[in-house]
Amino acid sequence: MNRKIKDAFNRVTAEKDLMQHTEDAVILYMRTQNEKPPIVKNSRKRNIGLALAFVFVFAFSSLFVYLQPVSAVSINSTSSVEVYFNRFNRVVEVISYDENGEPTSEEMAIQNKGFEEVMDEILSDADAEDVYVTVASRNEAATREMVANLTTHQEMMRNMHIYQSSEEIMKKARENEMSMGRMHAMHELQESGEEYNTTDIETESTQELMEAFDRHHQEMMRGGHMHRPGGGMNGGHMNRSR
Amino acid sequence: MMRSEKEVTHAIQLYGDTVRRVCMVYLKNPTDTEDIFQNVFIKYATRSPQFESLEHEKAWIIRVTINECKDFLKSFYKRNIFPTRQSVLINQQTATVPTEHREVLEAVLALSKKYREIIYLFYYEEYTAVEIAEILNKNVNTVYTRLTRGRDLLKAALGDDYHE
Repeated sequence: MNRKIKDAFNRVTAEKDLMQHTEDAVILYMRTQNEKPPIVKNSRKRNIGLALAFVFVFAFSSLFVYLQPVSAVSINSTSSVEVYFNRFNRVVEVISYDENGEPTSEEMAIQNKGFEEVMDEILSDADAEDVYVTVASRNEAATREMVANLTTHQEMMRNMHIYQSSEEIMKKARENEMSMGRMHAMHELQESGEEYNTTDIETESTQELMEAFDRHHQEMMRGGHMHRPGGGMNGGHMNRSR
Repeated sequence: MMRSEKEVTHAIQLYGDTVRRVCMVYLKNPTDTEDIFQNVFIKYATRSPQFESLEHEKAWIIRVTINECKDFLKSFYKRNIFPTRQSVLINQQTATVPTEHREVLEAVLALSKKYREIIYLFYYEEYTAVEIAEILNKNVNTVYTRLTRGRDLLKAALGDDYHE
């Protein structure tokens, strides 16, 4: 029987036409595959690569722009908090300083919050002590907007002083890891005259320094002086309620 | 790596009949075999491994043909061919085979697929049960059981003729 099955299947053969069609089709397929320019695949890969590169560059640029601080608000009292905002008015960095102006590890969960929300949050905690707020920005419009917003708080608080500083001071404070408010006050006092010794200024606590700076401004205001280092309105005491 | 045209032409000449027979065992309908032929030899041309021997190459061709047939059945056959037409298709397949061999062939093709594939591989291709188990990816005991059962069914279908 084995032989019968073998004989029977031996009679089954592939038709010549079928073999020829298969050969033609397979060889045509092989030639088409060989002719296919690898550039097509490469070009697709290259395009995908370029698109991904573009997405990465765009994402990193956006992130860089987003994280770049363009304005700062320094809130000084017994201790200090420095809040840096990006061009979208969102918090990108918060630095706390102790009473002597040294950075501390204290953290505040206010990242990415908007200017108004952050100010509400920080200033609502301010109690009876005097609060000295110094603002600076790369652009004038942003500074005006910040000051306008702070004025609303000032109207409700009897112990708040607002000062406007400059972009230069903001940068210098960051470079020296110092509170911008303290840096601004030191700068103003040093510029004001001989009665303020540099070493004394640097060793004073932030609160004492801010109080001295505020007294200096009041005197300047009473004396009709408008001390504005840098030639502009930078450094001026914007307002005061007491 | 793609094989040369010469190698492919040689393989078609060498294994064309084998592929045709496997197609007959699985598909029954002769008109479906052309697609399978092309797919098997395109795979041979583009994806086949380095073979250690002709036996290895032939086993690879058989395995790929079986897989192609199964895929074809899954995708097309089951949806389009009704069982009632199968006897007609068997007759079409064996029409060109001389009468004295047709009865045996029709009896084998009339078995259900699980028996006829094993009968074919065992009796015609002369693979052992272990080799069949490997080709079909089945348990060896399953192969033995199906071989015994297929043989019994074939005996019943062919009667005394089987014992000659």
